[in-house]
Amino acid sequence: MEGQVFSMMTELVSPLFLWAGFLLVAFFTAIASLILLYHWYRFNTSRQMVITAGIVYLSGVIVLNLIIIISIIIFTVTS
Amino acid sequence: MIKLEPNEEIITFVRKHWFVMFSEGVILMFMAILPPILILIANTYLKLNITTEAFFFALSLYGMWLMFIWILFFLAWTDHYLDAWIVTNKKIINIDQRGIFNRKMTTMQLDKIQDTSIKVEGILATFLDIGDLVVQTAGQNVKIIFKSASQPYQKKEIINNIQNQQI
Repeated sequence: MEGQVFSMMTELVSPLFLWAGFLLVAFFTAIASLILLYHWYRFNTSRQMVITAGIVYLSGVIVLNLIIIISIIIFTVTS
Repeated sequence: MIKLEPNEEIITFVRKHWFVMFSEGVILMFMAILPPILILIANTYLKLNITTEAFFFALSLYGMWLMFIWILFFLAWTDHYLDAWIVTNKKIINIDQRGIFNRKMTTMQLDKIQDTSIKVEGILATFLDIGDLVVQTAGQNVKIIFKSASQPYQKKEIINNIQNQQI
């Protein structure tokens, strides 16, 4: 019975719910990224440091977005 | 970027010790690894029937959680990085960054500084070279404190040396 709870939960969730969740996360990520990049650009004390931080930050955002998108696509296909 | 006067140059920066950022990083790391650990524990005891569908559902939610942690980490780093003292050959610029939208900037002329002191408390602070740097100006009794500064002894020495050169 316990083993079925997790799969029952996924059956109840529509892929549309996940896409909506992703869009919400992407929206807030975009706002947070703009705020962060603006602060780094305006108040930095070393341009080199800010460029490195920007590359690391944006790489992480891209990788995580890809993980989310690919997971939702596979979930949509398999459900 | 900070605009300096003609003939003014940056001598050093006083920033918070890396251990302050490391402590915040450890908390965020724990928050990041908590969901898979909980699922593993639940799977061990409750024998969850994790199908491919369920796995990718959980992975997409976990990705969103990681995105939240990633942004929190960089918000903390921004706070850590922008909170600094810029010591030039003429003055100390104190930038007090509290969160993202609270920023206070004060300037202290080196010739007005009356006293520079440090406060190192505890075993960890002693071994890692962390301490509070306190600068007090003459007359006005204004005191600026930089908490958990990295290499406080060295920074105090630098400020005193520049001040002596000015005199």
